[in-house]
Amino acid sequence: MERIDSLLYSISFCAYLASFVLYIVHVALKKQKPGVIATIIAGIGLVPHSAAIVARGIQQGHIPLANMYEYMGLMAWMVIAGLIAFVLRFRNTRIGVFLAPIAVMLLVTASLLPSDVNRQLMPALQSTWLAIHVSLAALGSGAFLIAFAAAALVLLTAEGDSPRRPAKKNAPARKAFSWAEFAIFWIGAPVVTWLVLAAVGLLPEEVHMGSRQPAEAAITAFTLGRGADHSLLGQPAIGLGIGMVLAAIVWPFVRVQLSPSNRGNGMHQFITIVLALLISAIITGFLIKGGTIQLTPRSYLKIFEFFGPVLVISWALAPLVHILIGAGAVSWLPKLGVQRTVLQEISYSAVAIGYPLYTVGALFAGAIWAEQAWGTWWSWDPKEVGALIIWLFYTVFLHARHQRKWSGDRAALLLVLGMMFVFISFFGNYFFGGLHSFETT
Amino acid sequence: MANETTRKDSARGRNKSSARDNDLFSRLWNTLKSMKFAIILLLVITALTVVNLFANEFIVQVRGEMPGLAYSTYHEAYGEPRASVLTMLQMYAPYRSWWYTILLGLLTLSLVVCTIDRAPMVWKLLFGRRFLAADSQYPGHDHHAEISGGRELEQHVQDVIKRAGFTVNAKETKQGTLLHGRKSSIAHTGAWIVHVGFILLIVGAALIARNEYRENVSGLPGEWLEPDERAWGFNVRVEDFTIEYYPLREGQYVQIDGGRQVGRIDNVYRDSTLAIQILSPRQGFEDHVNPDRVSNRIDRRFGGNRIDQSNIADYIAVLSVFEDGEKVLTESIEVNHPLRYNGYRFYQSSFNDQRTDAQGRWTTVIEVRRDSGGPFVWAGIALVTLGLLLGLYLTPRDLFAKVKRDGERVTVLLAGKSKGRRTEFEQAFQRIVRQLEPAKEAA
Repeated sequence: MERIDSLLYSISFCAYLASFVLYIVHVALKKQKPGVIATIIAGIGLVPHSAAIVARGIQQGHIPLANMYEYMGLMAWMVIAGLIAFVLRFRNTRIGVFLAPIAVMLLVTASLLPSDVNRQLMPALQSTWLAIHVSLAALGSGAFLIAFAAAALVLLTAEGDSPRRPAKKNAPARKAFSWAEFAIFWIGAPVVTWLVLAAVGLLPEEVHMGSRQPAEAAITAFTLGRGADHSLLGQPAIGLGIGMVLAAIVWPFVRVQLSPSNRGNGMHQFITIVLALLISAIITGFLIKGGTIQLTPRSYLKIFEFFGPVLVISWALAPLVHILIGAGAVSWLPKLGVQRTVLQEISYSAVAIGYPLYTVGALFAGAIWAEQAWGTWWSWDPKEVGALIIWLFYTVFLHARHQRKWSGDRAALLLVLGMMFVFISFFGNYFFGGLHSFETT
Repeated sequence: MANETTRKDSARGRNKSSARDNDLFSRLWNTLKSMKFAIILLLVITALTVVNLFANEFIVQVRGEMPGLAYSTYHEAYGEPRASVLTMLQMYAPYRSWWYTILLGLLTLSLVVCTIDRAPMVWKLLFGRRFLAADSQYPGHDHHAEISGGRELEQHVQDVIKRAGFTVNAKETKQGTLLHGRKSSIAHTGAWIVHVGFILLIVGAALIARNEYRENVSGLPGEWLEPDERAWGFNVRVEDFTIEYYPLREGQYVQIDGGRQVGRIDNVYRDSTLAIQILSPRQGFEDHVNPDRVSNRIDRRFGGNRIDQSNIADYIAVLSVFEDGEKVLTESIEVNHPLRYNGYRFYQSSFNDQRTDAQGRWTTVIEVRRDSGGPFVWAGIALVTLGLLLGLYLTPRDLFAKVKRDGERVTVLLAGKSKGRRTEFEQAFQRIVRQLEPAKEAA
């Protein structure tokens, strides 16, 4: 049965996707109109998105923030709200081109998580503090995601050759797209992550990813889930999926260490890969919704079972996207049209908005709630420690800004690392268990 | 946010203390208050917290916090010398280990030193009267302008600055009138308040960590709660203990006919009758069962030694407090709603279904706690929240003006300063300039 909230989510998803495409057109053609329309569409998309959250709340009779599907939805909401706020503040529509895809990706990912309407909260979860705790933490994480995107672009567009590696005279013009860079970060890093995780034994034993239809074996073999129900080949998918997320986070920083001849143009590289991943995510999403690929039911590693095939399909798509947009792109892609100082100001502002929300929501409201429910403010539960680590990273960032040495790329790196821990903590319930794994039945 | 001022202040501090720089105390003080020290310390703490998070997963778990037991457990798992090292590092309770405590202690020390050191500066930013006297100081600012006009411009300047939301101080000098307008200057206190709040939080945490008193007591309805470890100075009786359930739903384990059968709900029909898969005593299936025959509770006797808790809405225990034999208070406590009395807190913690009374009610397990850190934690939370809102959601802005008279001609020098959100302030600044221009034209 189609529920009203998922219909509304789909509408806002379409709006964000359309707005992202228009932003690319806007940056590519250097025309103002598509950018303005894209921002308006994103703004309109917020209406069904907010309505979906309210509708879920009414259906369930409590604030709709009791699982990760709802949490990610609210993060995406924050990202789009931030997009509009920053576009208005800096009067620069190009900012949308790196924020819209994040919201799209969040909603695609969220749609794969269990979204059952849950009217029954266990006793510990029935508290006003739950609403405050989770909603503020989600909004804070959304703001950190904006900071991450801006910081990643600061690092990606750091094309200026560092003093340690001055450009050689008569050096050949930089390639628009570097296959070496692509191979290192988008093929090498995920494969290595998978192999390491498998060697350490961190991948789950039982993965129910695969397909029952032999006729679809061709597709599923390609996406690493061979035509068996209890396919062990789901494991590499999870490994690759985790590797893809780690690569996405590490990429902006580590690529600077590559020699310039192995490094592509940052913006071109970014847009090619993001587009390839998005198209691949939509294809994979259809394969899953259509039942061609089945994911392990009730597992939060599902997301990585999803990312695995997304990554593999994107390997095939990236050359196509490169050919499609690459032909005349070299001249326009370097010019995003957003200055580095503006990117830095966006990342700082996003942290300035998110940090109080996160401190009060994730740490304080959580502590107050824990005191009421269990009698202890703080119990060093893995999720609590994760939140503390995230908080420490952003605390360092806020202090580091005051030191000249720390204010540039190092501050951006802190934001990138902080995001990595937001991510680890987000899925920490699965890895670490502890007080926050409410969902297990 | 306190970017420039902090740097300037530390430079000033260095000059002042240069004479006694060799003094060990002042050297220590200067190290502890420095931003660099704080950053490095925070990074070290972050790194070690990450190590602890993962160590917790990869190192053999030790029950309790006894070094001897920990050593033998580690020895069995890893042998020497790793067992000694792990025990020495207290990896069985890493967050309470000596090295983590030392780091947190250093952080606290740095917090205290910073807070004391910055107090005068915050005071000055908040209440100090600052004026820009020399003409040359004006063009150096990010936002500046020069306007000249007739006599009425002189009065007009103050009005316009006030109308833009600034609080204005004025000072007459030989060269002319100096003005200083400020807006949201309270934001200067934000970071300082946050640091004070964290000191209170740490004090509260330290008091709580002494773990004054904690005990589990249990009782059936009608029984007194009997503490073993200490006398509370009052008595508590369990009046009632009930468990509330959500409406029946699919997938849930239930009893039929008061426990004669146990089954799992397969479907809930629109007329609220149920399809139930019978699991005990014999496997079977019953369709359209009247919900009146079905009860939510399921005992260990039937449910394969498990209690289905997924459908429990709440555990409610009613407790009465007696002092000198007289009832003073009756309160029902549930998860998220403890009873607080005389510094003691009573939490509905668990239940015991093996010990029941005549009506089939279960034994409630109550956790009783007492510690003295609570008020400090609350105060800390309040201060940090307030400080963060002030420091990060408000932007302090200063406007300096110098009004010079030369016969009938008046010249106004304007300079503006904003910490962050500069594009926005530039617009506000230009608005003020435009409002001053008409006065000039009228002249």
